[in-house]
Amino acid sequence: MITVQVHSRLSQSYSPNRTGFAETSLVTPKLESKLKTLAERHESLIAKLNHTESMEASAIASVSKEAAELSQLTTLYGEWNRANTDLDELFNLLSSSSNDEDMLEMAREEHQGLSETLQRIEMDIVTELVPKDSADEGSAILEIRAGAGGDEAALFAAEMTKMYERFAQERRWKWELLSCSELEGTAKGFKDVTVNIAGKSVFGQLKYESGVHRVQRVPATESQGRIHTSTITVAILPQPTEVDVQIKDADLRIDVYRSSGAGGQHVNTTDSAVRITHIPTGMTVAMQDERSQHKNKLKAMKVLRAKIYEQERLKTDLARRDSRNKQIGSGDRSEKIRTYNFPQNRVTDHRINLTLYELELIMTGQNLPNIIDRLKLHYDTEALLAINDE
Amino acid sequence: MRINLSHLTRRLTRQLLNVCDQDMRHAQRELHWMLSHVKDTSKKPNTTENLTFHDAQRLADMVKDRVEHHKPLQYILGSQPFCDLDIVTRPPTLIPRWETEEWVYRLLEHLKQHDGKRRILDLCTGSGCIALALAQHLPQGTADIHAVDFSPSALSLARLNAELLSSQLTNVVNIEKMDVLNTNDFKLGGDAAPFDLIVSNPPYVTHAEYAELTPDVKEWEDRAALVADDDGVAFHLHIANVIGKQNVLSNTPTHWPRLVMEIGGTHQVSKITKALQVNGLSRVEVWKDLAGKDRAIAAG
Repeated sequence: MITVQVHSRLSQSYSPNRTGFAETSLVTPKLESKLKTLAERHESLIAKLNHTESMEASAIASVSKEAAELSQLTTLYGEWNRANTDLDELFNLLSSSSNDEDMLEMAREEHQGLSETLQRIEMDIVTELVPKDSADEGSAILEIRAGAGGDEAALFAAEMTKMYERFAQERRWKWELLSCSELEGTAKGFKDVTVNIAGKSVFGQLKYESGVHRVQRVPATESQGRIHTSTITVAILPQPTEVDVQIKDADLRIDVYRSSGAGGQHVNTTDSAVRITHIPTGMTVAMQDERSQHKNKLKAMKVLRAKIYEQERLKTDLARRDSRNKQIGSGDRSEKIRTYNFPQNRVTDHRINLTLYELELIMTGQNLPNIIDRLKLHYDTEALLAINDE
Repeated sequence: MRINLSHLTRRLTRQLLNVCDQDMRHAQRELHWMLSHVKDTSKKPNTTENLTFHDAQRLADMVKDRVEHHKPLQYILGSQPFCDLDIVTRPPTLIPRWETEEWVYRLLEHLKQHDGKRRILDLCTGSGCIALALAQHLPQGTADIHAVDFSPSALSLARLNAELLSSQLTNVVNIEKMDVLNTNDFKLGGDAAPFDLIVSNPPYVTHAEYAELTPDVKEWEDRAALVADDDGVAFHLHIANVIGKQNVLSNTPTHWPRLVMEIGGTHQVSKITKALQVNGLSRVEVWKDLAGKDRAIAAG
């Protein structure tokens, strides 16, 4: 888990040792040489574009396209170099001057600012270099299921739904409840819930939420005051476009309420449930919450389309992993990824050993980015290291 | 005084099992829809745990109507979704069925592939659902829709729906009185212009079938909207004959259906098909519904 070390070093406090700091960088020597090559490439492309007299129109177009793709990275590399030079100067200044307290204090402040800048630049470089997943930009379907722990798991499933809903509201994403099965007798717990979240970069932001989330607390119903552990499962599926997944009508079996008699005017059914089976994959989605059978059908198709897309993505992903013979990131739904410990006001993400004592603010959705951003950086860095190794 | 919801819902769900084929999840859904209706129309705020005594009483009365008096849920809630419209439902006018919604969507798919202005007639409109759905889904100002019925209660409900839903409609629907079986030309207000499309969900239940219908249909919905002579095809045959004799349907051949009528099943197909062909509608298709039953006849 090399990247975990990288993170802990990043947050390391000031120590007046230039070489010590260099080690904390996300930009490894290998990566630095790659950046240098890319920056030089950008420079040569720009030079070419200054002498286009003898070039074909198509050549000009392809050169400007490549230059445009490299431009952001080149800028970041320039900023990174400048920040490093500034740091070097700071250390030179410190080593040449006497140990004046005021001077040291100024240096500390300066160092703090420069470190933060450098950290931001490096994160941007990582984001820029990591291969883009086209699904990241789009909408997603969120599924939450109560797991072990009975009513308490259902209550926690409802609270988690609320957390994601507030998180979505904050980002002005459109929250559309597709189905929700409430715990019998109360309206507070959910056995399972499916939501369509439409907006920009929904999948990219939420994709690391997939997995088993564990809650530890004293349930409201527990008279002995004992702490219980319950689990829920979260799944995030990217929402494909009609182009991403094409489904033939002939491949679908749609089951609806069938009266024993003639149907139509003969019966007046209120059973609007629809179940759609995708015959080639055997995947099935059922929807029943809407009074309109047609709406249930549309919702079921939306979820089915996402499930088929997810399966196709996993297939290509597995093929890629096999060829590399190593695992990148996490796709395992059964993996226990996070613990919410109420008595300690603590949330721990087990994948990156991140512990935050701000459970309340995370459950309101407000501080959820504190986890999501770190996960994103972790997986981006890991993906980058994997590419570098190739 | 407030009533605890968890006890109340458990008791009422158990009662509803009898009208929900003993299916627990279905009974829960029916209760959920009734509860939402009570909360939406309540004068006082309710919580997720409690109902006011008055609202709890209303909910219990609804369940009682449903279970003891076989009142259809759609009459209890006062509406039924149909092609993105909330159609007001009121006894004894026929409640829109999902099978009808399904073939209307199928027809719309055909119509949307070919633009152009259309004069449309909806015979036996009932609540007005088919005419209003066409008025909502066809491009703005491309349809001149006329919906007719004989029953005064159906006419007033169709007019109410047209008025309540007017902001969602992109085409005008005219609702007029017509005794379809006793009219030999379908001309409206002296306007003899032919129609480009005729749609209808006429009565098609046979006398024998009617005797066997469940009480939620038989005791609540208008018999005249359900039962027809001649093995349930009296309306279909009459409509075919009028089209054959009079210039009520435009003669231009089209790539989309010019006549769509709902039917009661396979046993009615051959009689109706013959009548349509005799009367000059040679391209006849039978459309199945999602339950696999022959549900509509479309002729071009």
